Amino acid sequence: MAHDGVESVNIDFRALLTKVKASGADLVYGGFLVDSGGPQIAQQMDALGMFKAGVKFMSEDAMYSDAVPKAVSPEALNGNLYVTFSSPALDQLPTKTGQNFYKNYKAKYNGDPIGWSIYSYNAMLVILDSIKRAAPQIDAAKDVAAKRQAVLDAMTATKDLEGVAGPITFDKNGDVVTALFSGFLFKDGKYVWQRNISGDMKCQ
Amino acid sequence: MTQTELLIQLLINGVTIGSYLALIALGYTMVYGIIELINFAHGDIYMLGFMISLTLLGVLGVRGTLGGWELWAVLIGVMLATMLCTGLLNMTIDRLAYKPLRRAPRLAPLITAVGMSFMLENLAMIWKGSSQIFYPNVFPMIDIPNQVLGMKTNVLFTTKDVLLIGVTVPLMVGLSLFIRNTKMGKAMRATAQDREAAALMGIDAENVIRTTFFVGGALAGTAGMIVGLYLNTGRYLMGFDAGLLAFTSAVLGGIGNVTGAMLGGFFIGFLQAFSDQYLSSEWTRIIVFTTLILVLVFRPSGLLGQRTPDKL
Repeated sequence: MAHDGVESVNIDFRALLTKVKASGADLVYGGFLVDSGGPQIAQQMDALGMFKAGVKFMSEDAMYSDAVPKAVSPEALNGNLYVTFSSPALDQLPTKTGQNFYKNYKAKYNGDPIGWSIYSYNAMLVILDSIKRAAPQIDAAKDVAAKRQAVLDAMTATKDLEGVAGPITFDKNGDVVTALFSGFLFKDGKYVWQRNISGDMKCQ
Repeated sequence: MTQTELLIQLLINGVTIGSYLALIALGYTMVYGIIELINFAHGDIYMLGFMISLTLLGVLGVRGTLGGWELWAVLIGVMLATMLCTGLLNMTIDRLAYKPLRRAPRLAPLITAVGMSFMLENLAMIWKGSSQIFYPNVFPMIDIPNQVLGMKTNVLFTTKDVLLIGVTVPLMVGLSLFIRNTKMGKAMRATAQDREAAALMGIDAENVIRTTFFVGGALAGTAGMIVGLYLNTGRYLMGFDAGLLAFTSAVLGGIGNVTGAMLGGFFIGFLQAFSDQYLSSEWTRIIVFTTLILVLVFRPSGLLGQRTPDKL
C-alpha cells in the first residue's frame, strides 16, 4: 500500500500512474470530485493500459455520477470503477419517500439521480420538516434571530424523519446516526449495486 | 515492470511532459526577451488553444478517431486555425493591456498580466464550464513496441507520443531557425538587446513586439491543441498549472534565452517524472521550485542565461 497526493488543477497524472502501475497495485483509491481530477485519473489509467492489466479504480460518492463515464468512456470503465454511496440500489430504495423521489426524478430529468441529487433532496426534506415543526415557536418569536434559532433547534432534534434511503436522525454532534452505505460497481453503462456496508465498514 | 522498463517509461514521460512545457516556455521567454515582461496570461493562451481547437473540431463534427487523409487534413487545418486564433488573441491582449503601459514602471504591466490571466480563466469557465472537458480521441493510439515492432514489453510508447514530440520539436527548431536566420529574427534579437537603439536603426519596435506576441501565442495554442489530442482532457485551470511550470522552465533555462527555455522545459519534465516515481507526487512541486531557487542562487541568470538579462 502506498500514499500519494495530487494537485486538483493538474490534468496530467501519467507520471504518478506509471509509479502505481510499476508497483503492481491492484486498486487505486482516491477521494475525488468530478471536477478535481477523478475522471482524468480514470481516463489516464485506461490510456496506460492499467484497466486491461486488471487494476481497479475506487472512489466515493462524488464520483457516483454519470458525468464520469461520459468523460472517460463507458467501455473503459466497465467493471473497473467502484464507488461507495450512502444509499442502496436506486430501484430498491426502502422508503416511500425514496421510491417517489426516484420515480419523479426519472420522469422529470429522464435519467438516474446522481449521488448529490439525493443528498440535496434529503437536506431539503430536513429543512422543510424543521420549519414545519418549529412553526409554533416561529410564530411566538419576537425577532428574526429567535425565529432562526427555533428552526435550528428543530433541525438538530430531527428524529426518524423518512429520507430517501432510510430514517434520518442526528446525534448531538449533528452527524447522521443511521447512515447506510453501499458499494457500487460501474457495469454495462450504469452503477450496479454490489452490497451494503455498515458503519464499521463490514460488508453485509 | 522491470527496473529498466520503468526507467525507459520515466524517460518517455519526462520527454512528453517536457516537450509541451518547453513549447509554452518559449512564449514566456520571447516576450521577456523583448519587453522584459513576465506575461502571466501566457499559460491561459495555452488553455485557450485547447478550447479553440476543441470548438473547431466540434464545428467540423469530429467526434471519434479519424484515419487516412481525413486525419491529416483535419489535424493540420485545425492546428493552423488554432495557431492563427491564439496568435491574434495574444497580439490583441498586448495591444489592449500591455501597450498602453509600455513606458510605465515594470510592475504595472506585470500586475496587468496577472489580471489578464484571471480574466481569461474566468471567461473560459463561463464558456466551457468548470468541470473536466473531454477532448475527442482524434488521433489513433497504437502501442508501437508491442503492436508494430512485435516486442513484448510493458513500456508504453504510442503513436500519440510520436505526435506530441513530432509536432513540438520541429516547431522549436523552426523557431530557433526563424530567430537566427530571418530578417524579422534579426530585428527581434536587436530589439531584445536594446529597444531604443534598434528603433534608431530603423527597426519598427512595435512591429517586432506584435510579431513576438503572435509567435508566442501561436506556439502556446499549438501546445494546447496537442495536449488535448494527447491527454483527451482539459480544464479551464489547466493553463494556470502548466503556465507556472513553463514559467519556471523559462527562468531555469535563463529567461530571455530561447534554447534555455527548451532545455528548462525538458529539465522540468524529467524532474517531474522522476520525482513522482522516486519521491512522492506531493513533493514534486516542492522539488521543482527548490531546484529553481537553487539555480537562481548559484546561477542567477539561469542555466544558459548570460550576465546581461536582455537576450533572446
